[in-house]
Amino acid sequence: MKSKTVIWIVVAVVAVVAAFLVLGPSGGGGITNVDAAGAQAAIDKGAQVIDVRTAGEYQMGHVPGAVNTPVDQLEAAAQSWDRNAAYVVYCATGQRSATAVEIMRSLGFKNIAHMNAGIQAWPGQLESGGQSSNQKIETAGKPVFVEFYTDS
Amino acid sequence: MKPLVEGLEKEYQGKVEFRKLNVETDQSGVKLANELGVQYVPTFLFVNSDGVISSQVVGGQTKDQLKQAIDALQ
Repeated sequence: MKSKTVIWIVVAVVAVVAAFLVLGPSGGGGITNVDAAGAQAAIDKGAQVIDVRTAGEYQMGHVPGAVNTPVDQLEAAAQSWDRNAAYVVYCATGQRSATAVEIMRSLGFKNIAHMNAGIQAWPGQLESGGQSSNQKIETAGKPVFVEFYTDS
Repeated sequence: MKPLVEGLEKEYQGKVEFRKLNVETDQSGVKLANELGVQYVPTFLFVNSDGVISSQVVGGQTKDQLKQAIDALQ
């Protein structure tokens, strides 16, 4: 009797594992690196877009519909997110978003499209807090070299 | 890009003003970036002495590319 029970348990476990492998988590999304087209496809299917850059970078321009959660705030913010939902994650170049994806993976998120080339590979329009203009820059009477940068 | 820009700053000392704006920590940098529609970092603006933006480039640049743009300023 005991051996039959063990056999049934083994069969049940194998069946569950097989079903998981065939269907995949959350219907087959998984955690994958994608290009902009792959990200767009995920967005079209309803994925939530997470921009893990700083608020300043986000304000300068982001993928339409993206939510800004800087990578250093992600672990706390993601506690309340649906772990079975689909997400697209990106930063500027793929470095911070790789960290973000690892954090999300450790928290149990199963369906993440990581845009690992960053927003610079995004070919579409960006939503922005500002628009280009013909604005002049204040000078002290000599030419000015301006660099916008981040340390990360 | 930091060592490259710092080298240029020394090279053009007294002739060209260098403004290095960290968009993570410098709120004035964020404000200016928003006003100008700057979307990526690094972005470089080359501004004539009268305040008119001569050119704007995005992404990593070589020293020669930056010098060429600086030398074109009036």
